[in-house]
Order: sequence, then C-alpha cells, then structure tokens
Amino acid sequence: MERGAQALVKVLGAALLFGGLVLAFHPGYRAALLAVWRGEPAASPVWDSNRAYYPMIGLPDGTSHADAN
Amino acid sequence: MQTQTRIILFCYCFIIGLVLAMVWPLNPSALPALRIATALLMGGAALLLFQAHRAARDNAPVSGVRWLAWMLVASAVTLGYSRHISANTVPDTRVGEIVLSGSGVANYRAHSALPDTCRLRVRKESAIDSDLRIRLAGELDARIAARDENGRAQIDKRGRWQFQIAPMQLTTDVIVVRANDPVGTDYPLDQPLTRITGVEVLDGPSHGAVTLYRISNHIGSFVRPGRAQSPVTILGRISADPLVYDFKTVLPVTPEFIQYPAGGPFYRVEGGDIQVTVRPEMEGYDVFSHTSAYGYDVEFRGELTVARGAANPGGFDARRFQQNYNIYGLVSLFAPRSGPPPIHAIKPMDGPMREGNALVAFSLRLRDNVLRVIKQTMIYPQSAFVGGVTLGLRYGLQGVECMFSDRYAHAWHPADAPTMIGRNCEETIADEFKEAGVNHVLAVSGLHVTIITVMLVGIFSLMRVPRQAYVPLIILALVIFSIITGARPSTLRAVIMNSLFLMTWAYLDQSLRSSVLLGVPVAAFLILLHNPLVVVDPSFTLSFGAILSLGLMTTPSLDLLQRLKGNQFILFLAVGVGWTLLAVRQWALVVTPQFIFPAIAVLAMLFVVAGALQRKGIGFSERINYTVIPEGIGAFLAAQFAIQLGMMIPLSAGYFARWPFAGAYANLIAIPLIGVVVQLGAIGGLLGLIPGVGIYIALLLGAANWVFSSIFLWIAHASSEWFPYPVIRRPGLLALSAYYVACAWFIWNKPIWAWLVRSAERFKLKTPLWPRVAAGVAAIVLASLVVADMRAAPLRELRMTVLSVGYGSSILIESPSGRRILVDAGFVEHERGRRNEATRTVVPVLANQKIRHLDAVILTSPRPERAAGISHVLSSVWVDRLFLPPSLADLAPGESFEDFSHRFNPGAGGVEADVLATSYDELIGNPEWPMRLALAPELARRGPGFLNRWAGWTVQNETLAAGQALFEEPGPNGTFRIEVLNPTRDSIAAREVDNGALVLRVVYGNFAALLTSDLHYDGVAQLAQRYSPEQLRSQVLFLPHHGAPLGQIRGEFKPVLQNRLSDELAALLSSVRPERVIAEWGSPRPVLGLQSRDAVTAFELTQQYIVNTLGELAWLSTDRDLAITLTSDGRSYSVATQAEANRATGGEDDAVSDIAVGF
Repeated sequence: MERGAQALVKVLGAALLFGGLVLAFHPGYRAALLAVWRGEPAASPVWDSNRAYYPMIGLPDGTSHADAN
Repeated sequence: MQTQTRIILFCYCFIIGLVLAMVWPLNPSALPALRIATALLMGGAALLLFQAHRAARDNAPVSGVRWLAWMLVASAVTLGYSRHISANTVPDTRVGEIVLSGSGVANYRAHSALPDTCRLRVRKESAIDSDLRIRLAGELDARIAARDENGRAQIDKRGRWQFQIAPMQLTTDVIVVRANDPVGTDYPLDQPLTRITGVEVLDGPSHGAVTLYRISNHIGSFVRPGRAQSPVTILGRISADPLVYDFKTVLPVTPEFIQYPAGGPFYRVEGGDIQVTVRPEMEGYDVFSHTSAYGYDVEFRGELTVARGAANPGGFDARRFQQNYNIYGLVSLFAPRSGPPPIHAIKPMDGPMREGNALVAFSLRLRDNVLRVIKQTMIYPQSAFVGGVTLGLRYGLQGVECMFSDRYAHAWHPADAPTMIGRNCEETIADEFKEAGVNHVLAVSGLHVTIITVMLVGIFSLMRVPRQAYVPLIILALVIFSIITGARPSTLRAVIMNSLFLMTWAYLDQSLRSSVLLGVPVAAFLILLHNPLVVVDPSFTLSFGAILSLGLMTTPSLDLLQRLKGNQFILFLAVGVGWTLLAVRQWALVVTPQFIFPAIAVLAMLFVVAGALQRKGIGFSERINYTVIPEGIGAFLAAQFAIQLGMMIPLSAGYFARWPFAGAYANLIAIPLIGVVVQLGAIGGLLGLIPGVGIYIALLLGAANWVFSSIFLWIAHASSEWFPYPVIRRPGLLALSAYYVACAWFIWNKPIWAWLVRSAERFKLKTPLWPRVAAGVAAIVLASLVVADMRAAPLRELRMTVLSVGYGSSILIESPSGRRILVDAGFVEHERGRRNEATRTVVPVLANQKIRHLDAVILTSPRPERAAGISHVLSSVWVDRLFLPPSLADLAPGESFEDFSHRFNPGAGGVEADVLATSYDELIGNPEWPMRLALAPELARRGPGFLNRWAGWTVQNETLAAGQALFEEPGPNGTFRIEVLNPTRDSIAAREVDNGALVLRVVYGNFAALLTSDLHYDGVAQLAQRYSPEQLRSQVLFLPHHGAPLGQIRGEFKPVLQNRLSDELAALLSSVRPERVIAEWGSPRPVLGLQSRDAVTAFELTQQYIVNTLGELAWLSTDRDLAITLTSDGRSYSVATQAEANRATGGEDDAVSDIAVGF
C-alpha cells in the first residue's frame, strides 16, 4: 500500500500541470484566478456559479451570496 | 476451533437472529424471557470458553467443548433476535395489579413505583360478570418550565432544563371496564400521575383483576398522524448538523422534555429523535441554517406528526425508513403572521451557547471550510458532484439538473455544450447516476474510505513516518471523515473494516484477506448491535453485499474467465459485445424466455464447437486468453463481474425492481475515475485552507478536477441515454435465497463437489454419476423456486387496485382468469417536484406484484392527470393492447398542435388551453424537450418490426365507444367483462374532451364498479338518462373528475355546484345505488395550478354531499385511505385500504407504544 505514495505524487503533479492548462484556456477559470489575485473572490465567476449551492457557506471574509446580491 | 472462527461464527449467527426476528417476530412481552435466555446462553458459552482456554493451557483433555459452538450459535441467535425485537418497540411497563375481592374491595399490588410523571392505562386481564368502575388516587408533580423575562425556557450551563414543580393531589376520572369488552382491552386514563396512592372501586363484580400499565414516554407515543393536531412544546437539543436546502432547513433534534398537551405538564422524553423543519422566512432562520447550530439547546412549539407510511402496496414507507434511524416524529414550523417565531435557540444562564461534541463540531467546521474551497475552485454543477462524493453532501445534489441543461449555459461556458449529446436535458444528475448504475459513488462507502486511506498512507509514507506511528492518526482521520459524511451504515462499515485492516497490517502483519474475513462480520455486528433496524436498509445491505462479493466471488470469477482460451475466449468477447448491442437496441428481447432459452442452447452449442475446433488446431491460438489482459486490469474486470453477480443484479432487483444495465460498463471507467476525483477534491479542499498560496494550489487542482468531474458526469449522462434501465420483477425472499445458494455453489463448487463425491462413496453409489444427478436435481429445485417466486400467484377472483397517485388516476384490474388491465397511468410533473407517478408509483406497484405483462392499458381521457404516465408505462412493461377514446385515434409523432387541437371542440365540453397544451406534450411530444417520452413516438417504436414481434413488444392500438364489451369471459361465480358506456356517437361527433371520456363498468358476477373518468355533470346526467338503473347498478362508484368537476362552472360556482350535485349527481346515485364512492384525489396544484383552490372547494362540497347522502362509511378517497383494493368473488366484495394496512403494522396511530393515548 505504501507504493501508493509514488502514484499519489505523480497524480498530483499531473493534476497541477493539467490544472494550469485549464486555467490558461478556460475563460471562467482565468477570470476566477484574476479575481482571487485582485483580492475580490466574490467577483469570481466560479464562485458566482455556486450561488444556489449551499448559499449559507460564504467566503472566508464573511461575504455570502446574499450579500453579493 | 480458532478464536477468529468463533468470532466470525458469533457475528453471522447474530445477523441470522435479527433476520429471524424480522420474519417471525414474537410479541414484545416475550422480551424479558428472551433476555434471560440470552444471558444464560452467553454465560454458558463464556464458561465453556474459559474451560477450553484452561485445558489448552494445561494440555489437559477438554470436556464439553463440543458444545461450545452450539452455545455460541444459540446465544448469538437469541441476542440478535431479542435486540431486533427491543429496537422495534418500546413496551409499556406493568406497574401494578388491581385484584377484586368481595364487593367494593380492591387490593392494589404495586409491582414497581412510577419513575416519573407518567400516563397510565388499565388492561382487562380476565372476564368479569358486570361492569367495573374504578378510579385512581395519586399525586402529580407537575413540571412547569422556568422562564426568563422574554418568556423563554431556561437551562443551566450543564444543560439541565429548569422547572418549577407544582405538587397536587389528584383523583383520576372514572374508568369503566365493561363486562362485554374482550379480555385484553385497554382503557387509557386521562390524567397523568407521578405516584399512585390508592384505587377506589365505585362499582363492579366481586372477582376479577385488571392490570395497570405505565405508557412509555418514548417520543413516538406522543406523535399523531395527519395535520391539524394541537401543538406541543418541546425542549431539546440539536443532535446532528442541520440539513440545509435552499428553501428550508431540517434540524435533527433529540427531545428531552415535552409539554403534552398545551398547558399540561412537561414529561421527560425517554427515547427517539424528531426532525424539525424551519423556513427561511422565519425570524432567526440564520441561526439554524449553519453547521454551528449543532449542539444548540432549543425550545419550539408545533404540531408533532409522523411521516406517512407506504401509500401503495410495496411502496416507499417513509415512516419505517425514518424509524430505522431513530426518527419518530416530525415538526414543521412556519413563520407566524404576528408574534415571536415558534423556535428559539436557548442560551444557558450566564454562559455562551452550548456546543455539541467537540470532535463532531470540529469535523463539521472542517467540512464547511473544505466546502468553501470547493465552491471557490469548482464550477457548478460539478462542484455539487465533488461535494457529494468527497464530503457526503448528497442533499446538495437533490434536484440538480444534468450538466447538459441549458441552465448552465453561461457566457464563458462552451456554447455548444448542451448539444454535445442530446439537447436541453432536464434529468437530474442523481437520476442519471441511478440509470447509469453509478449511483453508489454518492453513498460514501468502502470505495471512498479506501481511497482516503490509501491517500493518507501515501502522504505519511512520503514523510517517512513509521507505519506503527501513523496508523492511529489515519484511524482518527477516518473517524472524522465518517462524521463529516454523515456516519451512514456504509461509511461506518468501511471505517470499521479499514481500521481493523490497518491495525492487523501495522501491528500483526496480517494479510488483507484475513482482515476482510474478520472485518466484515465484526463491522456488521457492531453496526447492528447499535441499530438493528438498518439490517434491511439499502445503505447497509448494498455495502456489505459489495464487499462480500468482492471478497468471495472475485477469485472464482477470475478462475472462470481464465478458463476461456483461444476460440472460446474470442467467442466469449463476441457474445458479450453482441448481447450488449442487442440489449441497447431492444432490451425487451434479451430478457424474454423466447429469446433466452434458444440463445442459451445456441451459445452452448457454439462453445462446444469452438472447443472442438480448438482441439483440432483450427481457429485462434490458445495464447489468446484472459491472461493477455494486464494483471491489474484483469483482476479489476473480474471484481466488477463479481459485484454484478453478487450484489447489483439480485439486490438492485430486490430493492428497486430495476437493473441498471449500464452499470457493468460505466463502472469500468467510473470507479478508477472516482478515485482521482475524490483524491483531488480532498487534497485540494485541505490545501485550500492554507492561508496565502493555498487557494491558488486549490484552484489548479480544482480546475483539473473540473475536467475529470465533467468526464464522470458525461459518462453517467451518456450511459443513461444509451443503455436501458429495465424494470424487472421484484424477487421475494425465496428467490433471493435460491439465487444466493447458487452463488455459494459458484464460490465453493470444489469443496461441495468433493463432499458430494465422498457422500456417494459412503453410500456405495457410482461416481461421478450420482453426484452429478444430485447437483442437477439441486439446480432444478433452485430454478423452480426462483421461477415460482417470481411469478404472480393466480387470483381466481376479481381484484381492483386503485392506486394513490395524488390528483390523478390509475387503476389495476386483475380478472379471475388472470388478465391484467391498467386503466389510466397518472400524472407526470416535469418541473418543481418532478413527480412522475408512472415511474414512481404505477410501474413499481406492477413490479412489486410481479407483473411485467399487461393484457391491456385503457386510457379513458386525454387529460394529463390520467394520460401523462402512459408512455412511461409502455416503455417499462409488455402491453398487448392499448385502448383509447375516439378523440385520440391515429396519434402520430410530429402531429402539429393545431391538428391536435382540432381533435377537440373547445366550445363543447370546454377544456382549458394550458391543459390541452400539456396533453399535447404528453401524447404527441414537445419539440423543446426531445428527450421526454410521449405516447405517439412510443407507439411508433412498438410497431410490428421483427425484433418487437420476437420480444412480444408490439402494441395493438384501438379506440372504444359505447356499446362495446371487453374481455368477456366466464369465471367461477359469473361472467367478467368491462362494459364501455361512453362516449356515444353524439359526444364523439361533438368532439368533447371530458364528456367524450371513456366510461367503464367493470362487472364480475353480482359485483360491478362504475368508472366515470372525466365526465362533467351534464355528462353524468346524460349517462343516468341513457341507461336503465339495472345497466348502471354498481356497488362501487368512482366519482367523475376526481370529485371536483369545474370545467363548465364559472363565477360563483358554489351554489351552482350544489345545485348540480343535488340534481345531476343525485340522478346518477339513484340509478347506480352505490355502497361505496371513491374519489381519486390528491393535491391538484401540480395539475391545475391557479384553479386548484376552486377544485379543493368543489371536492369538499362533493365529499360533504356524499357523506350526507350515503353516510360516512361510503366515502373513500385515495388521499386519506391511500391505495384502495376492491376484491370480489362474484357474489360479494370487500374493501381494503393501504391506510388500514399501515395501521395494522404498528403504523400511524400507534407508532411505538403499545397503545396510543390522546388527551
């Protein structure tokens, strides 16, 4: 089972690279990255798409979807 | 016998005891005797174990040890049996006996003092020669809640509710034990007591005895079914994290005190939880809609009711399901028009709000934080999927539409995404998963726990931590994971088993197989000892079924597959592909005997020929075999084969009467993929909590996981679209047992064969002839048991089952000769509640009654509450003939709405435009929703093609008119037939919608039932005029238009309706002279929308009229009485209702206690 560690590292490495590609080419994720970088996570379209999903879970700064509206 | 073997034996016998208690339950009064027997047997077993241990230590001869196994078996069975009985009921306790000796003298023998304020009942224990009138004297220490200046109940820092005690002397009302009442009758006392001080006999016989019982204060004894109960006040604590929806929050509450009734004393509650629903419009809602509410003390006031039992035979029993999880009551709270909200979180005096268990509170906070990261890094609805599989948040997936819904077409979303496969899909993700057979990934189970375990082992290994050091940490992490995901039986099973495995692996260096053999029964024992009622819960059985299939059937499956070589291996692959393509093209064919038996014969022959050619060196090389597949993939395929064989096929059929055909294929990709999704979800969620850089790493992982999740959702979507999800007959206990005996043969065929050979040799019989004969006979017996159990029993009488399908209609008629005819198919709601009565009620009822072939379906009206479900029924079962009203002749796919509308004359009979549009969608199809089923395309698919004819899948489509008779056939006590009384030539010519509906009279011997479908009152009057009373005479009348015909009544309809009831319905009643009147009723809102309020008023007026005219007993309705079954032998008839059946099984009137006591 401990051999799984190697596989885990490979999966994580591949996922990070693949995630970078998605961030580069997907407009929604690109906008999400910029929003987080600017310190405006509430403006992220990824966050916004989750408006109806567990609305009481807000951002770490306390901003909820209801506040955003 | 090894200790491990003894533990395994004990655990499995405990489960057998539970099953015996389910199948043959004893009265709870036998519980004390059972407990004594269990204690004696366990004491005996312990003594023998001790002896065996001492003898082994001293190398001395052992005496009596051969009894040890039997003692273990007996003690485990009795323990399981008594645990199930005690979990299923909270018996009232006997507190004393009142013995009459001489006139007016009563001797009260107290057995035990009352432990608290209690309600009491008297039971008549022996026959008495005159009425006995007694009353009890006693004291009541009435608890009155201490309240603060805001009027809220008070609690101290240690969580003790504060009360003032008001002591009072009390004499109960007089109880009359009647001489005529049978022995065993109970008489509840109206007043509760804390102490009994005496008994006064006012009048009665000179001899006899009655017993005094204390009614359990379990919360279940306080609940009352239905609405409009008097509200109660409850003090309790939120015992788990709230279930938060976007329109409500459900709080699991452990009640501690209940004030019952309002203004009465507070009772200490002795067990059972309740669910409290609060709504966003309520003041203070935010306090309860967060995880932090876990552990809060609360006071609330509302109606305490119980979930509804099954509405139809074999239907989902919400009450039983909730009781399996210790939930015995429901309170639904609404915002009041004025005044304070009905629920408050109570802060202890001089202290902060109390919190729940620290580990649980930490776990739930962690879950919320991880969810926050998922929401920031994953696009919806993929986020809902990842939240569901990683955090067990299944509620977040409820009603979430599939990835290809237009709902998700954002500006930055690929514009052509919805057209990738099917357009504008309206199915939910959960439904697609069910149909694709990958639903199990949403139930956090062994797969998820193992993924987390492997991930954590990997992380610790990378950090070079010794195995012995990190195993306890991983076990703690698994406990937190199980708390986060809701601690369902499947998760607990996996956590217990993985923990056992980790400990044996780290400290005893044992193999996986030995820990599985021990872990499965030990985990089952621990879970069932805690809550024996989950033994039939799908979450429990499917989880254990899967792990046992994996553990026991993978190796035999692999052996079987590896035996196939060369020609036979290629043939096996070809057959697999061919069978799959055929099933996708026409699933009905591959499950019919006319295909299966010839196919088996041909395949057997082909395999023999392939083998023979192989031996002659013709064909493919033997090197082409299963072993050419890489070892890991080969083992994985064998494991999938084992799970299908041991779990999916039998248990999916047993629970859901359906088989997700796609599961065998979709899981080949879905299971490896879910490993990636869960690991990336968990690691990303945790890394995202690191301040600063964490959210960027989480965003990278989330973006990658979004792709993997999308692939998973796409696989589920495509599988649900391409593969069938056939309905199959629900196997009974007998068929399932026979199936698993066959599985046992598959697993242990070598030792069983060896035993058969040894037995034959012992009796000097020829081998291998006689062992083969014995195996053949056993196979024939098993097959016969399965076939017998899967076939519906012959009736020899008429049975009409009126299904409870809300505001709609569906009636199953079973004739004395065994014909099955379905009249109407219920409503389908595509939005809001998404309630499809055909797939939710009608088809499951058919499967439950082992019916998959209908001689006919009769659609009486084009109205959607009768017609919408028809295409779903046709797509699920075999139907020989479909009878339609003349207005629906020659339906064809693609018919325009204008042409469809011209079938009817709006001026004659009147039908609302929106209703006609809905009918068009359901009968012809809606171009906006091409994936929806509709009648015309379904009929086109059921034409006389080759495959359809071979499968018996064709449907003969006919119209009916007045004067025809269907299925006329002699029965033991008269003739059975269905007479058509409407529409007449006139109403056909007038193209009326409602008055053109089919009116049927079902006749068998002297019994008749009149089904008036959607007639309006003028149609009813015409019917009464057209036919003589003899032609209409029926013992049972189905009210027209569900008892609320509105169509032709405008404006002030109440006086108009009352006139029509007393004129036109009265005319019909005087002709028909019914003894019972049935209204197929439910909430009309989904069908009628804004008109529903008028429909409710009309229904109430009709009910009042019928009750006044024919009496209360004549009235039956499918909302109150649920499914109604009429049975007739041609001479007399009987009526049975599902509501009665629910009550008879300890149902709605007495949920837990031996007796329900009202105040």
